[in-house]
This record gives sequence, structure tokens and C-alpha cells, in this order.
Amino acid sequence: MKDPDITRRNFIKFLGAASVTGLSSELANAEPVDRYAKLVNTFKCIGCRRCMSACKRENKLPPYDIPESLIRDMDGTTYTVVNFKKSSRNTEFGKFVKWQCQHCIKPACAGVCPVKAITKNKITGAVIVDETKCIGCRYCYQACPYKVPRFDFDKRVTRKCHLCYTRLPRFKPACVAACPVEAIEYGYRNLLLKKAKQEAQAVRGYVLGEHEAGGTDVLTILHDPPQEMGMIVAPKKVVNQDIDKVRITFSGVGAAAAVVGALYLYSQITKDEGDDK
Amino acid sequence: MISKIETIDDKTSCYYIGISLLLSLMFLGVYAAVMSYVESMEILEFHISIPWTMMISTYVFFVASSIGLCIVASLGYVFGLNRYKIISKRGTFLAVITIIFGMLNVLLHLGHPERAPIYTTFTPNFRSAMWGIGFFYNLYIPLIMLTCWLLIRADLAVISENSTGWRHKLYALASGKKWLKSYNLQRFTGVIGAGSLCFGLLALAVEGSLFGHVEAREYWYGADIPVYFIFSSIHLGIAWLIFMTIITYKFKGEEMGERLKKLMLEMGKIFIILLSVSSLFITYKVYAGSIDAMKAKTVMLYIKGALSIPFWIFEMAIGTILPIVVLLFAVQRESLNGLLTAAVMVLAGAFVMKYDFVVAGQVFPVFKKAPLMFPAFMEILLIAGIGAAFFSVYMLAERFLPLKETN
Repeated sequence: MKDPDITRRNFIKFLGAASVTGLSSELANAEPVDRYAKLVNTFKCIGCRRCMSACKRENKLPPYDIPESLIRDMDGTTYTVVNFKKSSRNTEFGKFVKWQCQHCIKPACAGVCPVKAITKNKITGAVIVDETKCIGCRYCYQACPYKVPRFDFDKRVTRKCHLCYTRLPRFKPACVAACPVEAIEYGYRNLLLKKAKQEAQAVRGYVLGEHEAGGTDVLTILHDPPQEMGMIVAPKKVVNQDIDKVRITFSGVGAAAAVVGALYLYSQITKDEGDDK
Repeated sequence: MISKIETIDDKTSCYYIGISLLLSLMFLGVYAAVMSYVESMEILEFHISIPWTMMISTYVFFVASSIGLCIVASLGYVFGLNRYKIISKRGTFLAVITIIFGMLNVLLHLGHPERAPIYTTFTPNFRSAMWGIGFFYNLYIPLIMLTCWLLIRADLAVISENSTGWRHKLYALASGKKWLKSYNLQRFTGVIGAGSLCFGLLALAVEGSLFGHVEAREYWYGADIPVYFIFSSIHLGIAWLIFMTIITYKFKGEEMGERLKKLMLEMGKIFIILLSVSSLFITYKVYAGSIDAMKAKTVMLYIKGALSIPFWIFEMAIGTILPIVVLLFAVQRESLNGLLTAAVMVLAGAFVMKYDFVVAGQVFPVFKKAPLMFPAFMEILLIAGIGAAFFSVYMLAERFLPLKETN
């Protein structure tokens, strides 16, 4: 028997209603279920830093010139760093934490770039800076919840991890391929997230990137939540939402209108006889 | 009564020392700019994790000053107050040069300034406040320049009539009398001026939003920043006008007319009100920040941290409280020296305030403990050079353009 609910007329009605209510745009913007992501398991990492070397080699970047003893930080020619981090909750144990661009699902950096030099590939997950377009304003650095995009003072552009997007999805990013203990994986995000949750549950760890900054395409299994590890904490929501930007800008526009109104009032109140009408 | 210091026309040793100082500073500024290209832009920054420093704060200071000057000057040619028309020419000219030198700061800060006009045109990001700033300043700058030209062109024509040779030709060309016969363009000037005022205010609103949008910078984030930018620009505009007008008359050794003096004192009274409102803003900023868990750490930098001296001494004492006291006396005793002192103090305080605001916002969450937040030596040289170039351009304009108030 024919299902009365799925007639052509009902389907057209649904589409009409959906487009009116904005549901169609929601569907159009829906994240692909088979999107890719990277998983970093700090419980497996042995701190060999082959990922750092592989990244440098792949991107033809100069070697890291800071002494071994110091805490490594990213810069314009260092897209990823591995640091030994201890948890404030449990100071006896520590883990090597690989850090790079978290490739936010809704990247704040792309939203503030005035020339659209930063784009997000929804399939591979990579947030990419077009170095031929970048004007070097560093607004992306200010907007990034993790303070990742760094300025290369020689090339005078902002640079950061691009997930080796030219290798994707056929080949893995260089750091993933170089890891000798498979502490870094690249694959479907939903599968990796499921795996990360299971592994984190088993070791009472924390999955960074599931909710932070509205979700990121780099997931990291940490010892403890980031605030306990002395890492930058991103809010568990999409940062720099457009509606928020509109609200803030309109407060300024309102103030501007108030100033014009005040000037008019002042001119009317203090008008002399000889003044223009 | 204005006392005569050294007049520009006297060309005394003091005059030559002043010119040499300006030229030296400009040379050092050019040296710093060239070195930033030849060596590395890194020489202009005191810390890699604080990329926006003095150049950005000076840019903000200059553009806010420009819009403030435009607001005050517009009272004459847009809102029709005759007593304000006498300062329109100087006001709009100052608005033009402050915005140009402000933009110079940001252009020198960009990694690739040459790409900005290309890609903001062909691949604009309407979601970015920075794009919005570029858009509105691109409308504001030509309009304020046109307003300035419309205000002075009749005087340029008079100079042309009264001179001979190349001077006559040059001023005739500058007045544009060949193409625009009529000099009675008050309404047109008003419309253009209104346009520049609106776009300038919109640009400044978006300028504040540039900082206000950044959710990842807790101290900057919020709807109050654009509002503060707009209101603080007005007292900057008044401070610049009082400072430049009185100092010009002092250096030229000329007597200020009664109407102008009366207007200066009227602006002094408005100045007191605006500074009082500004002090309320600062109190609100400190109070709201201290009870907001996200902003409290940065506010503590101001109250008892790395920025406590700039905050208490420059922002509060020199930039707000003392000028109010000085202005109260100056207005009561009709002292132009008092007005000048207050204006200088406000400008110095506002300059430091902008620097503190820009730098303090970038400390957390990157640093656990605030670093020393003193600008890099090369950056200071660059800013000093830009400042010297600004004053040199003003002096040249004062010499060759009819900016003088007509009583």
C-alpha cells in the first residue's frame, strides 16, 4: 500500500516550508558526515619529535633553532611543536603534547580575514592560508582562540599548519606518516571521535576538540582538561559568530547616530541670530 | 593674552633647532622603516606574541583624532553654527593629515600593504570588520579632503589674485577656478561635509568593532568598545583643535581674535563635560572589568600590574583628572595657556591610553605573567618619525595654505 505521507504534493509542501523556515539552508550548511580529521593520542606519544621534523621537511622550513631545554612555541616557520606537559591535578605524570592549528570546523580566523586569504576545506578539514593573498595584518592571530597563526617576518605573511592539504586525502599529512608509534592518525572524524572517546574513557583522559571552539578537526586525547595542563582554553562554542559581530557593530552605529543627534541638538540650542538655518 | 615665544618668520636659533629636530626624527623614522624591510619586521615588535603594538595604537589614536576633528569642524559647515566656521578650515585640514598619517602607521605595519587594495576589492570578506574599516575610510578620506578643499578654495583664489608668476599659477590651479567658477558652494560643502561626517563615524564604529568582535581577546570583546571609540574621539578632536590653534598663534606671535578666543573657551567648557563623561567611562571599564571573570586579569594589569603606572599617571591623572581641574581654572580666568596645557595633557593621556588598550588586550590568554610592555626601540623611532612628518606637514600647510581663522 502506498504511504500517504510521502506523496509528491507533500514532498513539495515540505520543500516550500523548509525553504521558508530556513531548514533548506541548514541542510545545505550541514557538515559532511564523512569529513576527515586528525587524532593525536598523547598517551601513545613518545616525544621523539619526528612529526616536527617531518613537518619542516614537507614544508621546506628551516630547522628549529631554540635549545632543547626550552618550551617550544610555534612561529612563522614552525607549524607544530611537541612539549612535555604536566597536569596541575597530577604532577607526578606528564605527557608529550603535540600542538598545531586545531583546524576549527568554523574557523574564527577565516571569518576575520579581510581578503578571504583563509579558507576551510569541509572535506579534508584543513584550514588553509593562501600566502599569495595574505596582507600580513595578523587579525587572524588575534581572532584565533588558540593563538596559532604566526607571522613569518621574512615572507611577511601569516603561516600555520595546513594539514598538508596537497597530500590529502590520498596520502596522510607528513606528521601522521612520520609517527613511529601511530600516536597521530588521520581518518573520518566521526570514527576517530568515537575511538578517541573510547580510549579517553579507558584512561580517564579528555578529548580536546570535540566541543572546543564549536568543534575542531584535530582531536587530542589529553591526560586532563586543557586548563589543568596549562594550555589555552577555548570556549565550548563557535567563536566570533556573525550575529554577535552584527550586534557589536550596531552598538557603534547607534553611538554614531547618537553623536549626530547630539550635534544637531547642540546646534539648535546654541544657535545665534546670524547662524545658518 | 598670548605671549610671543619665537615666531616662524623670525627664523631665530630656536626655529632652526626645531626644524633640525623634526628633520632628524623624520630621518630616523625612515631609517627604521627601511630597516624593517631590509632586515626584518621583527625589529618593530617587542614580543612575537604581541603583534599589535605602538603602530596600531598610534593608528587608532590618529584616526580617532581625525573623526573627532571632523565632528567638531562639522558644527560650522554642516550644522550651520557661524561661530564654528572660523575653525572649519584648520579643523578639516587637521582631520585630513591625521587620517593620512594614521593610515601610514597601518600601512607600515602590514606585511604586504600592496595587496590590500587588490584583494579587498576582488575578494572582499564582508564578515570582517577590517574590510569594513577599509571600505568606510575609502569613502571618508576623499570626502574630507574634498570638504577641506571646498573650504579653502576661495582663499586660494584670493592668494592667486594677489600674487604673480608661478605662485599665481599654482594657487589658481589649486583653487580650481578654471573648472569650478562659483565660490558660493555652502550647500554643496555642507552635503559633502555631512557625507564625510557620516562615513567617518561609521568607520570609527567599525574600527571599535574590529576590537569588539574578537571573542578570543576577552578584554577587547564586547559592544562597549565601539561606543567608547566614538565618544572618546570627540574630546580628542577638541584637544587637537585647541592645541594646534593656540600653539600656531603662539609661534607666529599673532594676537588671537575675540571671536576665536571666545570659541576656544566655549570648546573648553565642552571639553570639561566630555572629560567628565570619559572619566565615567574609565570607571565603568575598570568596575565592569573587575567583576567580569574573563576581563579581571587584564583589569588587574591596569590597577596594580604592569600597566599601573601608565594607567594611574597618564590615563587618570594626566589624561583625565588634572585637565578637568586645569580647564575649570582656564575657563574661569579665560586663560588660553590653561586651555593649551589641558589639551596637551589630554593628548598625551589619550596616546598612552590607546597603547595600553591595544597591548593589554593581547596579554591573556597567551602569557601566564605579563611581559614588559615597552615598545621596541625601532618602533619608537618609526612613530617619532611619523609624528615629526605630521608636524612638518602642518607647518608647511600653515605657511602655504590659508588655514588662518577669519574673524
